[in-house]
Amino acid sequence: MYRYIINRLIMLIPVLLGVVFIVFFIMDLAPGDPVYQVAGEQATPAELQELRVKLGLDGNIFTRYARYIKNMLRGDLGVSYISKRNVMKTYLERLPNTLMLASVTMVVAILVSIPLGIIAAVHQNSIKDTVSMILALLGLSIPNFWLGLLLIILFSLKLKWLPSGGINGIKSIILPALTVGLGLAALMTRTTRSSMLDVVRQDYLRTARSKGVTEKKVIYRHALKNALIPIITIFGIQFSNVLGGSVLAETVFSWPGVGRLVVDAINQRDIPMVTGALVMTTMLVSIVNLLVDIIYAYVDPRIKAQYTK
Amino acid sequence: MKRFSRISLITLCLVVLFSFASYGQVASAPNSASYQEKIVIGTPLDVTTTDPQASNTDSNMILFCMTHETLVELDPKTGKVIPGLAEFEVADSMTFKFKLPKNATFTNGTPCTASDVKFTYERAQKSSFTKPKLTLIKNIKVENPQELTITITQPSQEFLTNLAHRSLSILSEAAIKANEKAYDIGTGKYCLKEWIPGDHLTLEYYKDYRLGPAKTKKVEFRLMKEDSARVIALQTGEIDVCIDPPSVELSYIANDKKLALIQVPNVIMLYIAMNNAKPPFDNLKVRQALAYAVDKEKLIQAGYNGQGTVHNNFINRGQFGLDSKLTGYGIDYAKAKTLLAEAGYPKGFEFELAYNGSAKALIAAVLQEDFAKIGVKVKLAEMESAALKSMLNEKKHTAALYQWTDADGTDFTVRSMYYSGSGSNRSLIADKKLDKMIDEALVEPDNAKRAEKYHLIEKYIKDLCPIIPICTSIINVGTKASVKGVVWMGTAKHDYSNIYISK
Repeated sequence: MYRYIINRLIMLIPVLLGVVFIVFFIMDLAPGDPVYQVAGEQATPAELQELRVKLGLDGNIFTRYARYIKNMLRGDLGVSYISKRNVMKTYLERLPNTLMLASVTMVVAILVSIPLGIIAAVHQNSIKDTVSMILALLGLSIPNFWLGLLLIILFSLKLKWLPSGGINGIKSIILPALTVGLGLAALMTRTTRSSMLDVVRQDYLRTARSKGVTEKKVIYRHALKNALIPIITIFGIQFSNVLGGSVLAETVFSWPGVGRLVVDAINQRDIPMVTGALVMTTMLVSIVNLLVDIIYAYVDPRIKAQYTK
Repeated sequence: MKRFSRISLITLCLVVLFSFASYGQVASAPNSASYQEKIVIGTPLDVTTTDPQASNTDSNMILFCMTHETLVELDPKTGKVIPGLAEFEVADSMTFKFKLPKNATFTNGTPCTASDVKFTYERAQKSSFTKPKLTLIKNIKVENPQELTITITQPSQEFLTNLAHRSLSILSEAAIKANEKAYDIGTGKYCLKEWIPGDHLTLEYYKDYRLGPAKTKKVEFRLMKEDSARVIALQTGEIDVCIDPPSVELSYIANDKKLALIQVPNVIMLYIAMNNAKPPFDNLKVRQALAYAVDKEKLIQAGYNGQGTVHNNFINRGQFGLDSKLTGYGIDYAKAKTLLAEAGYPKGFEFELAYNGSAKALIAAVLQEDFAKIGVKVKLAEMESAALKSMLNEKKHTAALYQWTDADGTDFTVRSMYYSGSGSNRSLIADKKLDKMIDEALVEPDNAKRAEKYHLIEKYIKDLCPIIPICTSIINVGTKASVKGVVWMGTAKHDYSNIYISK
């Protein structure tokens, strides 16, 4: 198992090198010279060239890539072209906000989706199933942006229970987490339902019932555990997505997370910030994927057996 | 399963608790005697730098207005140059004397001297943002810690106006030499307390400010990019000022007795920049044809919900020498078609119009319809602001919807927009006669004659038709009704340094 984890961590190196190269390549192709974002309109060609050298934008893409990798290996992700602030420091300032939002969002998604999915599967084709699936469909169909504004109007403007945005205590995370979490819950509800439906028809559950095991035990102890693999997969993917930043929710709720940081940096052609933030996010997502794989092993003995070979 | 559940549960709880632990309620500040201690301003635009000489965006200028001071200032009502940090004397047309008060100090407590002024301007001469305002400086002589004399290479009626620009705020030589990023230290009423880019910026009053501390102890600029959320935050009382609420939601503010809707005529000119250096816009008749096909009223309705003013001038409203009698080309599709035929385009032509932003997108769509009436097809090219700016600076555009935001010095405007080779000359017009007229107007000492020279310049530019001025819009700001002390500016660079809310 440990060897597997170490192998996965080693695999992270080519992934990061690839991500940095792709970011460099895309930013190079994107219209809008970063030098013009930094220099004034009256800058002369000589001054522009001087600035280009100062910002490390001289040379071809491979030279710049090599230079960046060399600095990255020393833990230096550079300085923002626009704010002149350290990229790593800026990212780490935003990361707790994103981790916070992602964690609470996933809690909301799990608390809503697992019970709803189980109810829908256990009571297949009943009114409960129909209602659950309609709710899931609504959750998938309603745009985050619109749902966020509706929640603000209801809970902030009308009821005055919750703040409309910003980070100001525990209350301020409820609306953004609900906005993102309900959308994710919809997808996870459908996955839970279909995964449970596959499992509840298995012979071993019929055997358990015939042996007199209570229905509650059959569902929660025997069925759910076996249905968890696809749910964990979706959980991992969605958690990684939220870690990358929920730009729309962050914008509506003025939530200073990494998603908005990256989007703002792209708009300003702030290459060090874009590259640095994506490198850090890639590392985070890779670690989350690794954790998900480890959880698989705990849930499924067959996978654990593979690792221990 | 039990083991897994426990591990999962404990991990989940730890993650959530750990995350919550990094958050806390913002401590409520103690109340001062007469004024609300903290004012929160919701803004859609983030501050990008705390260096006055490294940018000229609105949000940055608003910050520098609070943290820094310039040697001289412009009276917001008359536009005339008045003393700022220093008293001034115009010794002759090329010599200016300044005297700093003895008790002027930076917000770190160190005295502000003439040497700091010299250091600031010499640093500004190296910045591509600020150097155009100081190109005329010949010599800066420090007479003593409080006095300095600046001589310029030729007479200029706008040299002092240039010095009033916020980008030329006085910096601390000692602080910057000790730490190159100490440019946020100025002599203003407020000092920078905290800046979290993408979230908020907090200023705290400088209690030893020479003219007495500001009434409000803390002012926070909170970045709120979503327009509707910003208005709701004002309605719920989470913020005290809402900059630039969307035009469709103004009624919520206007109809709420606890709130006030501030509307200021904008002096920012929206115009169509046609690239005069390449076909088909190198042909005067083509440019004029397009000018005859622009329905400015309709564009204001489309882009700004009818809230704007038709602009026929080539400098901004309120600027010295503006010819208020100058008329536009008017709408004449028949004449436009005739001009196109004379220019060799009887069947019209196709060109790309670049722009950014939602209001300009609506305006561009109407322009597309209008130009189609004279056989000209417009290919709409909506771009990100960075891409558009880069394209304009690289002079690769055919035509663009753009704006001119500076409203201080008329010479700075005409020199930037229409002088041969200027970096902000988006039409790329290069006319030696016009250049000469601009140079002559700058040195004319008699104000009446100088104003007449700018009238002639505007008429000449109208005939050349390098750009098509469209309109100016209305600046909207929502505030709590109790907010006082703000100087609302037509450039949107409002002065919040005296903002307060009485208890």
